Amino acid sequence: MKLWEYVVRRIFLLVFVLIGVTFITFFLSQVLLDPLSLYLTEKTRAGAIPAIIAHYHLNDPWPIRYGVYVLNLLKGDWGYSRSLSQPVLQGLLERFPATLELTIAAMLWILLMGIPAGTISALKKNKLPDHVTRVFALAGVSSPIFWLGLILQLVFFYYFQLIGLPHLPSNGRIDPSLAIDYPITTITGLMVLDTLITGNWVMFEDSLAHLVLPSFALGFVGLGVIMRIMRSSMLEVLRQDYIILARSKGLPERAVIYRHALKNAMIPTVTVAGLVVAALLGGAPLTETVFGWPGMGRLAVDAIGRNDAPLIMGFTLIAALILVLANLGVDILYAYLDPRIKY
Amino acid sequence: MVFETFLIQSSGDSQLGESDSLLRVCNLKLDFHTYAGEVKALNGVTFAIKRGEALGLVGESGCGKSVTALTIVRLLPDNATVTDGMIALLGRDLLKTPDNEMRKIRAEQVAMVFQDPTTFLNPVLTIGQQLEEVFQLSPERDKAHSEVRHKLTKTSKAERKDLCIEALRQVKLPDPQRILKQYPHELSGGMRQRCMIAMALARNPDLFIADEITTALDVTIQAQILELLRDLKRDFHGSTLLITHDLGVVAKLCSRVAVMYAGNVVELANVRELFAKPLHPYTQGLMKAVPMLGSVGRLETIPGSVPDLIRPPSGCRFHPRCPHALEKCSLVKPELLDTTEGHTVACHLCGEERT
Amino acid sequence: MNLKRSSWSPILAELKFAGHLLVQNKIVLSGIVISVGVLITAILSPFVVSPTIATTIDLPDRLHPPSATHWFGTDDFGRDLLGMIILSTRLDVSAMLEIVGAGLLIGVPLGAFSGFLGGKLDEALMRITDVFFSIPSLILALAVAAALGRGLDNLILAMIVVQWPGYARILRGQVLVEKDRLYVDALRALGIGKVRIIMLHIIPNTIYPLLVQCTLDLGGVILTFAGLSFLGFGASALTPELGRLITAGQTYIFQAPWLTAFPGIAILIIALAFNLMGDGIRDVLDPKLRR
Repeated sequence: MKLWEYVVRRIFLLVFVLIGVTFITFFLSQVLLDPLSLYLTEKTRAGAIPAIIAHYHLNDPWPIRYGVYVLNLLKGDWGYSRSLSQPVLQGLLERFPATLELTIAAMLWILLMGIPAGTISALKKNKLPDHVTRVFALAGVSSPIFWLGLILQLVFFYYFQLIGLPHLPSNGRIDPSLAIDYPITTITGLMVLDTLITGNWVMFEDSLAHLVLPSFALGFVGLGVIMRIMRSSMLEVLRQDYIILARSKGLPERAVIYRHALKNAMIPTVTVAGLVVAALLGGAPLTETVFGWPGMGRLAVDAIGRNDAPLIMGFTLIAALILVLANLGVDILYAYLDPRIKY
Repeated sequence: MVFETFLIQSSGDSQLGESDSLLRVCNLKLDFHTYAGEVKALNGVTFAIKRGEALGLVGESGCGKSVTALTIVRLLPDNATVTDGMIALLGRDLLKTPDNEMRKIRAEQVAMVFQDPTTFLNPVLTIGQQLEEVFQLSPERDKAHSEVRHKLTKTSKAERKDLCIEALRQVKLPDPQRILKQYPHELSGGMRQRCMIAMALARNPDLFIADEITTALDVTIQAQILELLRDLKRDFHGSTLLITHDLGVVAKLCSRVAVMYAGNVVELANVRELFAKPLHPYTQGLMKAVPMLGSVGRLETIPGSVPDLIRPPSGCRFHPRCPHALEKCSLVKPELLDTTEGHTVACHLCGEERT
Repeated sequence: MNLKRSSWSPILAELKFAGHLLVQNKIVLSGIVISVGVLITAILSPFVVSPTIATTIDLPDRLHPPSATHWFGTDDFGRDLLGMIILSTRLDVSAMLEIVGAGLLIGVPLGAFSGFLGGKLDEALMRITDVFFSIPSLILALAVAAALGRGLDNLILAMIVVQWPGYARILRGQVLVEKDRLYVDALRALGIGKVRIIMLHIIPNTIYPLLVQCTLDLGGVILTFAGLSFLGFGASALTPELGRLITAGQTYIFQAPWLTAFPGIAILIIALAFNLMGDGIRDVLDPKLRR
């Protein structure tokens, strides 16, 4: 099977999984909760309710209700969020770029720090860099994200300020007063990127500074996971016979590691990448809340306090969609890295 | 250079004189540290290989043949320690060579092919990638050697490709262009082994070590590989160390044989001589256990089993299984002594008979 | 092997031996010691610290930094933070154990039978667990808890829903390997029923990866549980719970950082202990895991 055939087949399976997810959200929002609440707005008059019930087939048996529900999802009608005074999908999409930016930044921390650190840890096994990395990684997988965020704010914002060191901001994506003087043109929705493209250096620095702490807090767990798995898979690879052959050819150690070992060691790491994305998505609500980051996660958290179930269900659907796509990407990457697997 | 006392006392020393020998292993002792204890794997291994000669290193599994080979190229695992001895390659003690020099030696002078082509080839790199890197290593013009060396100048990608194709042709692989693009798992075991041989011989090394290279293959493929090696021998002017447990292979490809048992070389002779007149009781036992054309009657086995190398037998390590053991054999380790015709044995019996 | 007896006894003996190996590793040992310490604290907490301190307001004493009388300081109601943390362990630890325990009770039999019986049932289970895996666990727990309503029991229930698919998959994978083994055919030939085979023979032989996963999960679950409590789910505001303590501490984070720091460190220590134990168990059982 060719690669593109494999991709098509996976997308097919992906659709099935997403249908399963819609079943869960349907069950939660229409069976456990009052189905009407999904579609009521604050402006709906009592008289309009029967029409709404008819439109969404809310009195029909559940298979029909489910079918209508899914059809509406595909049409873009994900219900109405009374806390936002907006349709759910619209509200989520508006805040999607913020979460995307945060997640990408966290991923960068994880990849750019985690992979090299794990590799070095394996190469210098049981020496100081190894011990430091292992402690750090262990702390990573044991720390509560929200607490870490708070501590980071305490140290890098508050204490640094007290001592007089240059400090990092603790809240939001940008300094609103600065943004008035240096307005940001939105191109991609990722502020760091947009300000870079438009040459808006003041806001570039500002948005970058705001991104540092939250993305690090979000990525901390994933960082620990990747460090640990890179270390263990690298150690495993270095024990293999083909490494002995590579050395017996007289290759410099650098070539042995980068050319022969690393690609093999990356394979188990890539398989974990899907889990890491899941952890990032799951950590988003916590991190965005602690840092006042205006993303989808914080939206969902605020919705909790305001009993806005439609929004929470909508967030669940988007999170599942992102995760499923990320897993697809991971599988494609894996197929690319390992020529042995047959698709 | 000053060498330690060379333990082979030969009457006709010219056979193993310094100018003739490519590789001399003297009294090599090696231990492995394991949870169960110290495994005394090598107990004073001694042999020499002349230029252009093919020496067979025979023995059963676990006798230390592969360990000896890995010690020559210094690719032992971390828990191995050389406790005594010397390995001289063209006069240079490999055990005392620093790592970066050792790397050069591996690149240019010593090449090794291993037993299992499945695990010894990198699964995520193509054959072409694994072969061409051999040609990418920069050359060292070593003035001490007047050998004609395969010239490895800074090659271009196209040149390397041609060299790779040529190397694959040498080992009789059909359609080399295609194979270069393939991954190891796409090839058969025999083809993979040929690729490994190609990788080794491409550098035209001074010493070619083949560690049980046919053991993991089917019998028919084995025969093909042996054929190949016989053909290659015509054009290959370096020395070969052929490690195997199969006496038949030795008979076909080698001029001299060293027999190993439990970490010692117990007998060294020309192939014909060894088969005609094995002197060491172990070698005799081996001969009796191998079916040969014209042999009649039962195959005999050597009673007992391979000793535990953490607590090896005292004196001669073979004495518990030896039908002719003397009291002396359990007390004193026999040295390798020359008998006539360049036939060397480590056995008190032979020594006794001599006197 | 004596096929008439179950496979539990030899496996338990192996585990005992593994246990001896485990305690030799100092790091793992410290993990075990801390875990046991945490458990003991949780069990004994109402006897060590009076539960009434949770509801006693002592205004003059509020927001004091750590001192000789109050080792971890006091919160904005004047309650001793150390006492609150100790009381909280009871809730957090019991929630942890309930969630993982119930997840096992549901997931293990489902996975085992699905793997053993195969066919449509197995396919269905695979698809269902696929769906569960495609939603990040915290978010799924959040959605289920939101649908069920606030309250501690609902939060625990939501997290059990998230927890069981993982165990089902592990068991299924292991059972698929085990059922092809010769001893299973032998047992069938003896006429022993499928249920007995699964419960008495297959499950004990598949226990090692499960053991590792459970221990690591105990660490993960408390992090998620505390996180969701921090966000407002679970126990009511006044009930002592570590995540809640941090929520309360957040308001005063700059003036009274100890209110945020110490409960978080407590969570970290608990998660750390189980991670260390899980790592250690994995390393010891590693050759057996690769069977």
